[in-house]
This record gives sequence, C-alpha cells and structure tokens, in this order.
Amino acid sequence: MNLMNNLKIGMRIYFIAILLNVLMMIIASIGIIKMGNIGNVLYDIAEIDIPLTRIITQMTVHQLEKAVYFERAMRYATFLTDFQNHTARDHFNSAKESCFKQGRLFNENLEKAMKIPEHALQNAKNLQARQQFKDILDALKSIDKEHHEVENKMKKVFEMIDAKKIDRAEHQADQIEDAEEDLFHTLEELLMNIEKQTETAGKHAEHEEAAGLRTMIWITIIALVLGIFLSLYITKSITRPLIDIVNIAKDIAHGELNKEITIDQRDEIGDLANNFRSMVSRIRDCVKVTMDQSQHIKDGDLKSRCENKGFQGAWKDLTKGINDIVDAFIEPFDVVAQNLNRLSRGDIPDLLDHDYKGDFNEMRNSLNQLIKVLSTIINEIKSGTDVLLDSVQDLTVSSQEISSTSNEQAAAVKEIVSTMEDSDQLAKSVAGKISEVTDRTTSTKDVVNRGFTVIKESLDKMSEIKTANAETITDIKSLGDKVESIWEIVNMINGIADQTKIIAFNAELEASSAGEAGKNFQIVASEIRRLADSTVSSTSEIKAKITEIQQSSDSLIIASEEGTVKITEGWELSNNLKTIFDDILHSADVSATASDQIATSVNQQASAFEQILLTLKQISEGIDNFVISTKSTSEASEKLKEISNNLHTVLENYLGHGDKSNG
Amino acid sequence: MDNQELLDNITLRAQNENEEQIENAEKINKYLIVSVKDKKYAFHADQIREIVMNVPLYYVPFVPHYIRGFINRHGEPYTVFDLNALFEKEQLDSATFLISKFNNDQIAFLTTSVIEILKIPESEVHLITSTDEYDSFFLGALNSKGTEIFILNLQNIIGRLDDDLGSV
Amino acid sequence: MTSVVYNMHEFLVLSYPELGFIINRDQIFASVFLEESQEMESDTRYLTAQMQFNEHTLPVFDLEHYIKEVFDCQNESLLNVALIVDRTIFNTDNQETYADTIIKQYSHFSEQYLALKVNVNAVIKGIALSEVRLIPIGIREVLQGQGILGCRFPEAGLIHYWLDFETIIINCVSGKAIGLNKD
Repeated sequence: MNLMNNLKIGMRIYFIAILLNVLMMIIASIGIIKMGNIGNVLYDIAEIDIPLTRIITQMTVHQLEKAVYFERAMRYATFLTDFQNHTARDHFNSAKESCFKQGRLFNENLEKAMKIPEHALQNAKNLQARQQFKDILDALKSIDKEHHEVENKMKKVFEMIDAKKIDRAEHQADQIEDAEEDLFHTLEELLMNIEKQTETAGKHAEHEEAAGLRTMIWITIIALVLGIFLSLYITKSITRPLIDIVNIAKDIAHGELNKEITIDQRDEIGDLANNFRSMVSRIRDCVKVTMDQSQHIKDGDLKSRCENKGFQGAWKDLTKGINDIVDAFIEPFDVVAQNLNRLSRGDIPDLLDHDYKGDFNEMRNSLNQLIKVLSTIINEIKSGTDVLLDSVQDLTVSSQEISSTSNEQAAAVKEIVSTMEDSDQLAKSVAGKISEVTDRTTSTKDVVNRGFTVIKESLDKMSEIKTANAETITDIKSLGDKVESIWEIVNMINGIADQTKIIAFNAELEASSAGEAGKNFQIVASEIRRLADSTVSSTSEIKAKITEIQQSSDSLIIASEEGTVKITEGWELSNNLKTIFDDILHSADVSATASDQIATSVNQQASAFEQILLTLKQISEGIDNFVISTKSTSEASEKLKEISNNLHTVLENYLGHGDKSNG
Repeated sequence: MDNQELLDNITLRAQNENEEQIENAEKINKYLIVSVKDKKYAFHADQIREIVMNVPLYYVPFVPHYIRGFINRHGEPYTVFDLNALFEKEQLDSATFLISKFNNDQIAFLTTSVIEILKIPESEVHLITSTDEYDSFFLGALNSKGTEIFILNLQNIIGRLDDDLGSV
Repeated sequence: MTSVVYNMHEFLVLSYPELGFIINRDQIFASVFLEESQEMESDTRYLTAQMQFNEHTLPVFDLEHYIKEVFDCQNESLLNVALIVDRTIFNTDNQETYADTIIKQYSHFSEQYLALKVNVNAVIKGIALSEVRLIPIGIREVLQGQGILGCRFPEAGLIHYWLDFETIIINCVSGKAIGLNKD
C-alpha cells in the first residue's frame, strides 16, 4: 500500500482501469470458450445425429415395406400353380420388383448413413466421440451384412418360386421373416443409441452452459468487489491528505502558524504538502521579524531595522516597508526635538521649510506656528515694556505738574462761588416759566380727552356696522340653503316627470296592443306624453331660474364679503386712531407731570447751589490733600520705572527670529 | 249646378279620396326606441307589454352572464336579459326594464332609458341579410334623425339563451 | 300536512339577510341543534362531517356552504342546525344512486338518514300555494335540474327560492353539480 501511495495519482487511476479491463477480458474469454464447446455439441447434433436418425428411420421404413412386399409376393406365389391365373403372376412380379426396389433404396440409404460416421470419425475432437462414431459405423456394417443375408435368402426364395418349389420357398420365407425381424430390431436399437447419444450431448451442452455462467458470475463479483475496494482506497489516498492540507490552511488563515503538516508522500499530494510547509515557514519568519521590530519600537529603540536579507518578493517588500515606516517617523521627530531644545535654551529657531508628506506637514506647521507665536509674544512684551518705561517717565512728570495745578485750583474755586450766586437768580426765573408751561399742558390734556371720547364712540359704531354686515351675510347664506332645498323639489318633480313619461309610453303600448279599440286610448296616451314633456320643459325653466337666483345670491355674498373687508379695515383704522389718541393723552399727561417735576427740580436746584458752596470748601481742603498724595505717586512711579528696566533687560536675552532678520 | 248637385259632387269626391287613401295606405309599425348605455336600439312595440323602473333585481344562479336575475311583476318572476352584457360583455348599471309579451315565457330586458316611440312605415326599414352571429340578433335598421337604429330580433336573442343552457 | 280549505302547504323556511329558502316540509324528518359533529374529508362535494342521531351515524352535507357558494349569501350567525332527511322519500333511481355512492363508500353511515347543516333557525310555516311561482320557462329546466323548483315574493325587496333537497343531494353525490355563472 505504501507503494500505491508513492505512485502518481494518474498512475493509480490507470492501474485500476487496467485491472478492471483484464478481469473483463478473462470473463469474456471464459464465456467464449464455453460458448465454443456448446457450439460444437450443437454442431454434432445438427450435422450428425439428426441426419443419421433421419436416414436410419428411412431405412427402417424401406425395410418394413420390403417385408410387406415380400409377404405379398409370397401370397401371390401360392396362386402361381394355376397357370391360367395371369393376374396372380402379374401381382407376384410387381410385388417382387417392389421388394427388390425397397432393397435397393435401403442399400442407398445405408451407404449414405455409413458416410456420416466415417466423416465424423475424421473430425472427432475427443476419444469418446471417436468411440461413439465407431460404434455407429460398426452397427451399420452389421446391418449391412444382415441385410445382404436377407436379400440373398429372398433371391433364393424367388428362384424357388420361379422353379415352382413353392413349399420350400414358403419354408425359407419363414426364416427370412425371422431375419427381417432381427434386422428391424437392430435398426431400432441403433436409433435408440443415436437418440441416447443426442440426449447425452444436449445435457453436456447444458452442463457446459451452466458451468460457464457460474464461472462468469463469480469472476464478475470478484471484479466488482476488487474494483470498489481499490476505488475507495485510491479516493481515500487522494482526499484524506487534501482535507488535512485544507484544515491546516484554515488554521493558518485564523492565525495559528504553529500547525505542522505530517504528509509524507512522493506523489503530487506530497509535492503540494512540501510547498505548503515552506510557505508556512516563510510566513512564520516574516511574522517574527515584524514582531521583533515592533518590540524595538515600543522599547524606544528607533535605530533598529528589520532584517530582510533572507526574504524575497513580497516578503522582502513587507519588511522593507516596515523599515521605511520607521524612517519616515524618525526624521521629523529628530527635527522637532532639535528645535525644542533650542527653544528651551532661549534660542528661537527659524521656521521649518522642509516639505514632508501627509500628517508630518501638520506637525511642521504646528511647530512653525509655535515659533511664530512665541516670537510675537516676546516682541510684544518687549515693546510693551518700552512703552511702560515711557509711561512711567511721563507719570513722574505728570505728578509734578499736578501739584502745581492744585494751587491754581484753589483760586479757581472762589471764582466758582460768585458764579453760583448768579445761577441762583437764574433758577428762580426759570421756575416761573415752568409754571406757565404746566398750565398749558393741563388744558391740552382736556382737549385730548374730549377727542378720545369721540373716537371711542365712532369705534362702537363701526363694531355695530360690522356685526350687522355679518348678520346680513348669514341671512344671504341661509337663503342659498333654501334655494338648495328647492333643487330637491325640482329633482322630485323631474322624477315625477320621468315616471309620467313612462306612464305615457306604457299607455301608448297598451293602445297599440288594443288595436282599433285602443285608438281613443292613444289620445289619452298622447296627452299624458304631452303633460310629461311640458313638465320636463317647465322643470328645465325652473332649474334655469333657480340657477339665476343662486348666481345672484352668490354674487351678493361675494359683494357682502368684500364690504365686510372694507368695514373691517375701517374698524381697524378707528382702532389705530384710538391708540394714537391714547398715546397723545398719555403724552399730555406726561408733559404736565414733567412740567411739575421741572418746577420742583428748579427749586431743588437752588437749594443745591448752597450745598455746592459748602462742597467747594471741602474741595479746597481736598486739593491740599491731593498735593500730598501726588508726591507719594511720584515715588511709586520711580519704583515702577526701575522694574520696567529690569524686565527689558531680561527680554533682551531672547533673540526672536524677527530680531535676527532685523539684525 | 244647384246646391244639391254641388253637395252630391262634394260627397262623391270625399268618398273617392277616402278609398284612395285606404288603397294607398301602407303598413306603419310602431317601434320603441331605447338607449343601452350609449347605443340606441328599437323594439317592436307589439313585443313590449310595459315599462317598469326602479324595481329590485334578484340574483339567480346557474345562468349565463347576460341573465341578471329576476324582477317581480305582480308576484310573477321575470327573467332579466342585460342587452349590454350580451353585446358588449359588460353589465349595465340601470333600473329600467321592458316587460316583453312572450306568451310562453316571462322575460324582461334591462335598458338605460326609454327615449321615444316612433311610427315608421315598413318601406323605411332596411332588413339585415348578414348571417354573422352578432347580426342575427337584429331584424333590420331604421333611420331616426339621421341616426341608424337597429331593430332587435327578440326571438334570436332568446334563442341564444336556449343554446347556452342546452350546452350546460 | 295540507290544509284543503285554504290550499296551503307546510314549508320549512330558512331566512337570510337578503333572501330566503323554502323546502317542502315532507322532505324533512327532523330538525336538531348540531352540538357535536366530527369533521371528515371526502371526495363528495359538501360532505364535510358526520354526526350521531338516534344511534345512527349520519353524513352531514354543508348546505350553508352550498347556499354561500351558489347564492353568494353569507350569514354571521353561530347557530348550527341539522335537518335530518329520510332517504326513503327519494325516488327509486335516486335511492339507488345514493346507495351506490355514499352507502357503498362509507359503510358505517346510516342507510336511511342523512343530515344537512345550516346556520339559521328553521321555521315551519304554512304558505298558500298560490304564492309560489314556477321559474320562467326559459331557464326552468336548468334551475330545476339543480334543485331550484320555484320562488315566491313574500314582501317588497325579498325573494324566497323553493329548494329540492333530493336533487341537491343527488347532484352532490353523483358529481352533477355544474359550475356557477357568477360575475
């Protein structure tokens, strides 16, 4: 079986085919041989036994006829003593001739019969057949001999009869009859032997056929079993390893690379298994290299790269690709690290202008943005510091100026007091004017109130008009509904008109049926018809009138609705007018109130001026205090100036990229 | 001529005119013109007993599709023929029935409406000679206001029912 | 029973929403509420169940289904009434036909009785024969051949068909029921 496994698949299939063909040929050969044997037997039966049987039967017939003719001759012979009986002589001669004729025919058939076993002896296929044919030939020879003896005796008898020795002839005839009897039995025996032989041959042929059939069946069964067994075995030997390979391929597809293929054959399956093993090994190596490299990267060792010398094709491309990825990451990170280092040392670098790919450009742009923003902040702080310095300087100068100014302010306060007294006079005259305004405003408010009342009345009237208009429209619509109900009546009348028409038709039909007697009824029918027609036409007029009424009602409704719209607009205008008058009234109220308030305010103002004078004194005192505080402000601004200088000095250390470009 | 002679002359003339009229009078038939959906047909007035409307129609099983059922006239069932179903294979939605005058059967015809009764001389009726199955339902055609109206052959229409039932 | 004086005859009346049916009282042996029946499958049209009656097993023909199919008439009632028919009232030929079909095929069925199932209450009523009309002659033969002998109009908008149970049952068992000409 190992040998079978080491054969190529094609060879195994050829082996089964050849084996089955050989078995088929064996079966066919056995069949042919057995058929041949049966054919021989049948040939013997057809060519030998049957003709021989026929001839011997013929001989028997001839022998019997000969015996009959002999006996007849003997009978007629008894009448031969009467010379006058010519008829007996003729019959005797005729019988004698017939007897000899049958004898000749017997001999002819005997010769034919003897030729058959002689020929068969030459072509006999075995000893048994040869012996059979020899026995037949001997029997025929014996028959020949007996027949000759009988013939001779017959001749002698006829000679005796011719010699008028009838008694002696009769005595001889008795012997001849016995001899003929014996001959007949011999022929019969021969026939029986031949029949037995034929029967035996037939049975032998049947036996041959059965034996052949059994043999062929057994061989067919053996061939079938062998064929099935071999087919199953060979199929298994092909499919089992293929299934194993498929299962392992599935495991590999699921990531289980540790599976091993245990197939060890030298056929196409073995080649497939070997190539599959080398493929799995290559995949494992590639995975290991990749995993190692990723571990290096995780550990921070960015300098290591995948070893791809032992790989080819796509595996080599894969490992090279991983190395390229690492390289692609490393370069921009290096640049970023360098620039950040410079920033930490206070050295603001230039903007990066290297063109990377994809997201690395984002990183470059972000870093550039950081550099820009940092530079800008530092520059602004520097310029702010400069401004601060200037401002502090100005502040110092200002505080000095303020103290001289406060002296001047004291003098100015006095001037303000005299001015305040003038203002008091002025306020009193304003209060008088305000009173007059208040009186005017009150009278305006009364006028507006009266106007408001008129507007309200006109608004109420508009509402009444609107309500009355809506009622009018409702009445018109209910009129329209009543017109609709008239339609129903018209339709009813129409239905009655139709029925009347039908009655008219029926009347006319009855009138026709009645013949002459129905002539007068015909007039009634015609009148009913006319009534129906006029009803229909009247109904049509009514319909037209109702339609006109409906149209008028519809247009009236439309006009009313348009009027309603106008009324509504007028009502809304009146409403707006009311609102406006409301506002005017409100404004008049407000004006009157405001005038009162102004008068009150003016009075309050006068008393306020007194307060102001008191306050001015307080201000004077305050100015003195202000001078003192101005001094302390100057001292503070000196300190601020010192701090600004220090800040400026610090910022000078940061050399922004703008500074560099400006020198 | 005196008055008596004049009277005799006038009387003789009137008699002669009457006799002439009677001799020349040709047979005038009455036809009931009905509409079946949008088509007009004519019935011999002699064949129609009456017209009824808006009576209930009762369904009858085991009959051809153009037999819509029964209506009840004076307690008697009448078989209703739908001419539109017979000619156009589409049932008519209507309730105007023509009760026929067949003595040996009770048959009514469903139509859309009855239009008029016309008196038509026999000479103005054109006979139909075609042996087409559809044309066998018509006796002839008459002309009314420029429209040709077919006259129904009720015998053949009812004969169609016998044929259809005979084949069941 | 026949009232000679008024020429009346007793009919069994089955009333449905839009029409009704009258059956010659003499055709009905009894009427019982059908409380229990066993469903069965058969090649005979409308023979759908069997029931017990007076120690006999009777075939149950679903007349309700026949009425629904032929007249397109449905009844929502849950009532189950069995009308018992005595086969000996059939004519000789029909008795033979019944024996050759149902009795031969189902040997456990009663030879004398059979049942028809309806879902309405069956009421016995005396009806004047003058009210009953024959079918118009043109379609009389085909309708009578299917068991519809005549009709009456008891009130406006209502028709009652006179059914012959014998013809209906024999048509079912012999397979002579024809197709319906419905729209």
